[in-house]
Amino acid sequence: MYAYIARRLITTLPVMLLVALIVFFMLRLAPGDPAALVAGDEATTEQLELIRQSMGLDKPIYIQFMIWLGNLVRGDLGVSFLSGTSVYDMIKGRISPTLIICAATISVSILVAVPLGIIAAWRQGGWTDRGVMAFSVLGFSVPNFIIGYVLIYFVSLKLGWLPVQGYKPPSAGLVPFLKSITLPVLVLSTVYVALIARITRSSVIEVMGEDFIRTARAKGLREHLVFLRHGLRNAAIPIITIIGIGVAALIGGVVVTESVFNLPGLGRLVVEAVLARDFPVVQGLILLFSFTYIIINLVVDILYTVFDPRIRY
Amino acid sequence: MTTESASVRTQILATIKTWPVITALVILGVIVLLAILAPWLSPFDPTAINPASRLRPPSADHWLGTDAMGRDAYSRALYGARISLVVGLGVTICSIAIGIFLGLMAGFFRTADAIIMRLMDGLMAIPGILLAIALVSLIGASLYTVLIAIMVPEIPRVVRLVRSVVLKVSNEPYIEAAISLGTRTPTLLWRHFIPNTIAPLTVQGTYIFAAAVLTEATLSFLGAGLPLDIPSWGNMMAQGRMYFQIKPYLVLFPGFFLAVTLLSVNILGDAFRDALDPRMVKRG
Repeated sequence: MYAYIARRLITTLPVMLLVALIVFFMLRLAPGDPAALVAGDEATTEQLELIRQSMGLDKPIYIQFMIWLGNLVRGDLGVSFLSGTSVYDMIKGRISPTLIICAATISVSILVAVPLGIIAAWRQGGWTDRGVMAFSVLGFSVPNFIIGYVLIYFVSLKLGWLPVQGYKPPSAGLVPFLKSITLPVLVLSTVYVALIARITRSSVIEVMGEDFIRTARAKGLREHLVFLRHGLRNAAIPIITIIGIGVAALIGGVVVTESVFNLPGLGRLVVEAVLARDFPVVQGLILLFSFTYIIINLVVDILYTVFDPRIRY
Repeated sequence: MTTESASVRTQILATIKTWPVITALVILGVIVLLAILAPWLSPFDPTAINPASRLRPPSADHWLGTDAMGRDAYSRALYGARISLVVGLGVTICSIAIGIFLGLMAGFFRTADAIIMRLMDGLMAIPGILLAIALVSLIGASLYTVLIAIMVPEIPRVVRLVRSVVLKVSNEPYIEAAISLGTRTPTLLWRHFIPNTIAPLTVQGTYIFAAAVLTEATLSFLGAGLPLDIPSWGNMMAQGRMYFQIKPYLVLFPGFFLAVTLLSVNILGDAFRDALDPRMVKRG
C-alpha cells in the first residue's frame, strides 16, 4: 500500500510542474513589457534595462522558467506590482477567512449531503427522493451569487437576522463571528450539497442493487447492518471522488462569495489583483489554488485504498 | 455505424416526455425566441442613457424598471439573453470542435496522446473560473476574448471524452473489417468514429453550454468579463450591486432569468444523459 501512495505522489509532481508551466506561459501572454509595467511611465531607457536585468527578462525563456521555478520552490512568489509587498505575505495576511469558510463549508456539506443522499436512495421514487433531486438540480443550476443575493434580501434586509456583508474574525467574539460566516457558508454549501447528494443517491442505489447485497440479506443480516457494513463502503468511492472534484467548484464559489459578502479573503484578492492587472499576485494565487486542488485529489486517491482494498495498483 | 433499434427509440422518447423536460424545453424556446426578436421587442434602446429617469421601479412604461443610468431594464434583459445564448453556443461549438480534433489525435497517435493528455491534466487542475479570470485579465476583455477565456477550461473534458470513445471503438470488429476492406482514415473517422461520439457529446454539450453561460455571468458580475456597455445579465447584476439595499430588483430580475435559463439547460442535459444511458440500450 505504501508503494501505491508513493506512486501516486510521484505522478502528482508532473501535473504540478505542468500547472507551473501553464501559469508561467500564460503570464507571458500579456501584451506589453513586464519591465515597463514595473518601471512605470517615467522610467528612462537605462532604468528600464536595469529593471529588465533584475527581473531576469534578458535571459532565454527556459532559464527564466528555471529561475522562476527555483524561487517558487523556496516560497518566493514574487512581489506585487501594486503594493510592493511580497505575494507570500499578502497571501498569509488574507488566508484565514478563506480557510475557515472552506473548512466550514466542506464539513457542513458532507454532514448534510451524505445523509440526504442516503435517505433519497432509501425512499427511491418517493417524495423525499424527488425533493432531494429537485433541490440538487436547483443547487447547481442557480448561480451562487444569485442565491447569495436572494438570501441577503430575505434574511438580512427583510428579517434582519444576519449581517448583509462583512467578516468578523473569531477574536471579535464567537457569536458575531458565526453570524458573519453563516450566509457565506450557506451559499457555498448549496452547490456542494447538491453535487454530493446526487452522487450519494445514485451510488447507493447502484450498490444496493448488487448481488452481494442480496446475499447478505439472504444470510439473515439485518437491513441496517447490510447497509452499513456492505453498502456504504462500496458506495463511498464515487462519493469521495465527487468531494475531491467539488473542491474546484468550491474554489470558484469562494471567489464569487467573498465578493458578494465583502469578505477579506483570498477569493476577493484574486478579483482585485485581476482587475488591477497585478500579475505576480494572480500567478501566486492560481498556483496556490491549483496545488491545493491537486493535493486534495491526491488525498482522495489515497483514501480509496481505505474503502476499497482492491485499489492498490 | 452505431447500435440502436426502434424500441430503444421509444424508450428514449419516454424519458424525454416528462413534465420537467417539457417545461424546460418550453422555457428555453421562449428565451431563444425573445433573444432573437430582441431588437423588435425592446421598447427602448438598451444602451440609451436617461439620467432623468434613474432607478425607477417597475411601471407600465418600464416593465422591469430602470437602472442607475436610466436605461430600461427590460430591454437590457432581452439583449442580455442574446449575449448569454451567443456566448453559450459559441463556447459549446468551438470547444467541441477543438476537443474532437484533439481527442481524435490523442486516440490515434501514441506520442500525441502523451503530450495532449498531460496538457489536459494540467489545465483541468486549475479551477475553471480562475483560469478564465486570469485569461481575461491577460488578453483584455471583449466578446471574443471572453469566449476564448471561457472555452479553454471546457476543452479538456471534451478531449477526454472523445479520446475514450476512440479507444473503445478502435477495438470493435467493424473497424477491423473496415480497415481490411481498405477504408481510408478520413472516411473511417467520418463514418465510424465521429457518429459514436455524437451521443455523449450531446450530453456534454448541454453541460458546457450551461457552464459557459454561468461563467460569463460570473465573470461579468466580478467585473472581469464583458465590457460594461454590452448588456449582459452578469453586467446588469454587477452594476445593480451597489443599489441592492434600496433597489434589489436590479439584481434579482437578471438573476431570475439567468437561474431559469440554467435550470432548463441542466434539466435537458440530465434528460439527454438518462435517455442515452447505455444501460437502456442494452435493455432494448
